[in-house]
Amino acid sequence: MTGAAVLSDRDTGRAVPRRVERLLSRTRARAREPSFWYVQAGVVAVTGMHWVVEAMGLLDRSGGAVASIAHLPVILYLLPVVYAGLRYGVEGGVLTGLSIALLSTPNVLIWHRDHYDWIGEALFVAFIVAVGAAIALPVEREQGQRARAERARHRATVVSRRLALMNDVTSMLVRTADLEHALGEVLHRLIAVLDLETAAVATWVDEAPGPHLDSCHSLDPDACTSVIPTLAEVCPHGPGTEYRLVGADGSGNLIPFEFGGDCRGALFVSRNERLGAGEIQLLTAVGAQVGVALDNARLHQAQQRALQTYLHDITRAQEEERRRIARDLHDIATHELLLVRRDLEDGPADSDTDRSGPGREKARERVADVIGYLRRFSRELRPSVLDPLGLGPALEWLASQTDERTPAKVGALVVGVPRRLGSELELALYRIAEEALRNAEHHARASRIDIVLGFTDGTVTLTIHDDGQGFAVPGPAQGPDRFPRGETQGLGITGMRERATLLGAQLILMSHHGHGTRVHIRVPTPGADRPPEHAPIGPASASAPRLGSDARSRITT
Amino acid sequence: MDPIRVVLADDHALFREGTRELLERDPGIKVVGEAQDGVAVVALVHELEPDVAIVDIEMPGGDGIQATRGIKATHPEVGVLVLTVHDEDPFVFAILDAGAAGYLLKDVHSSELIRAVHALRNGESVLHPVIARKVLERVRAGADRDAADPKVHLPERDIEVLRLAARGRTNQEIADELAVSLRTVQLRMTTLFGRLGVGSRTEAVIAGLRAGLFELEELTT
Repeated sequence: MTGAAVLSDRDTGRAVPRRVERLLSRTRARAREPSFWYVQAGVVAVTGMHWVVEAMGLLDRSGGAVASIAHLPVILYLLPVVYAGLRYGVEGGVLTGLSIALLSTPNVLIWHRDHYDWIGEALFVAFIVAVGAAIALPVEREQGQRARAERARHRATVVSRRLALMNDVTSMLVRTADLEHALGEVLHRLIAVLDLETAAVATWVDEAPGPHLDSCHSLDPDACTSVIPTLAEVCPHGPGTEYRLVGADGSGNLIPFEFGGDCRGALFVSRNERLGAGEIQLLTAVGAQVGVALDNARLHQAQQRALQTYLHDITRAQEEERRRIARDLHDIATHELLLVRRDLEDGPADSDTDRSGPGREKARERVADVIGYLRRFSRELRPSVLDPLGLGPALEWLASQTDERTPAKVGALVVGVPRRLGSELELALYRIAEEALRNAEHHARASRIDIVLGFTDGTVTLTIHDDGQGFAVPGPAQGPDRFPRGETQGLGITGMRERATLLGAQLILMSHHGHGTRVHIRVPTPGADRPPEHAPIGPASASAPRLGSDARSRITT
Repeated sequence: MDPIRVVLADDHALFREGTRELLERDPGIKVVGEAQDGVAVVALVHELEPDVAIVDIEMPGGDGIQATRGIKATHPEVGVLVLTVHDEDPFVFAILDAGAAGYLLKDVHSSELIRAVHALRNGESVLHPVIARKVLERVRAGADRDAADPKVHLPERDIEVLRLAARGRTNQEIADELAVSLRTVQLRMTTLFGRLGVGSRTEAVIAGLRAGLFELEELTT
């Protein structure tokens, strides 16, 4: 952990010295250009020519046409001045003018000292400088405008690139179901757009002792292992600030962000070049988006958990109710009817004459029918075999019952060493098998349906497959979330899927037209397994013989 | 001759009462104890050492199967007669496995029940007609299976095809995977069905599984 961290100060504006600085730097730039010196050489040449004319005294001895030639150098001076003004702007025009003024000074001092002659010369020089400036100024203005437009265009490009980035970041984070993947994508984009070396998202969660690195991408493979400061160090600076991290681990920047109403995370970025204010602003905005996404994910998780709990409670309540009704039907109604049947058989004393009459026999049969009906109904509500004998025998019984009433051959196979799984898991798997069998029976037109229950170390698997007509599973033929509800609702797949979800397992459904259907579920059963079958009760239970059911596999058809 | 001493276990008090009255109409039978759950009946048998114990299957606090196993473990000489409304195969075979000598359904005629108690005392077995049919069916099915289930010997190539079929591959996919033609796979499948004596792919897979040609994991992954 690096303790040496300082908040970066923003650049303070120092307007006037900067202007002078800029002018000087522009002048220095001119001095480095060879073409500028060619212009100056032209000025020197014209000056030399002027001096020759003056020294020979051509102007004094003869007037007229020769005298007019004496003004030629002055006119020639216009050439470099105009050229420099057009080419280099103000500093070019003015500098050339000044050099002309400087070079003309000896001329004025030597040859034009009397008769106010020097005034004329000075006016000429001033005129030339003025021409230089007059040409240079509009050129300068135009160049300035062009540069400003260029800068504005550049700024617009940067802004639009950042807007595009923000847009991408938002849609990546909003549209995804897999937040971790989306965070990775966002960091990739940040690295590309801001030319970063490392980008990471770290969050601090209440229960955890340190920060959690949610996602990290870097050009340097070791960068992601370097430490990130704690909540207490980063968060006091708050969202929108940059926390600069300097130390042996390399230097980087942390931009804190909020989620769940508090500062709970930071974007970590590192780059050779320092981050600009605009870039920090951008990273802050990205951080805010990441915070919102994390918040949403958290809420979604909580909601899913609540929904699961609700679903679990509902399922349990429903099964409890079924169990109660089944028990009432069995314990009370069935037994009462059995007693009625017995009464009809034995009869009270006053009806002795009619003991074996046809009316009584009919009543006995009718009572037997009602008992049979109640028994079937109660068994549908709650499979009586399941609790005392376990899932394997219950599925075998289910298979034999289905086999009896359908044209298809239905079998159940138990593979591995059977063990008890706890009543809730057993019941859920039983219900899934029941639903899958119902589907196969009513929709598949199968000639054979098999239930395979497998016990392996730490898992239990249940597969129900038929050789029927199958149906087209839309999309990739796996995964619980791939079925549009409308298409498969009639098949009770939603119910099976929900039960699987409650078990923390995934229901895999495979089906193709003409190739049958397979429903498969694998449930991890860590440590919850009970010993195979149940031990006998009583004084000498330890020495009791075991039920002969621990064979490796059994099949009933 | 001493009356037959009977212990009666049923969680339904009224029905238990009725059964007791019914049994005791026969002077040769005496109900010496009543229990309403599986744990209590084992203790009662241990204490009273009756000739016959009549037990229901579904009782709270230890069902009739556990109770039968408990009784037979300590008092193998006590005849256990099941009197229940359940006729589901798994119950029948579980409790007969546990050592019950008789299995009657509760709609049995009272004279039948009394006859059954006498028979059990004499060391005979009594099965309700419905139950007797189930037992016979099971015995026949077992015999059929033993006959139809010879040790399967398949060539390695056939096992490979079957293993892929077990994973839910289509013939075309199997052909691609083994780099052979579709026709070859179809042909091999047909001979495979013949060798295993089955008529469908699923049956072949089940047969392979039963014969231990591959493990369940291969079927499900």
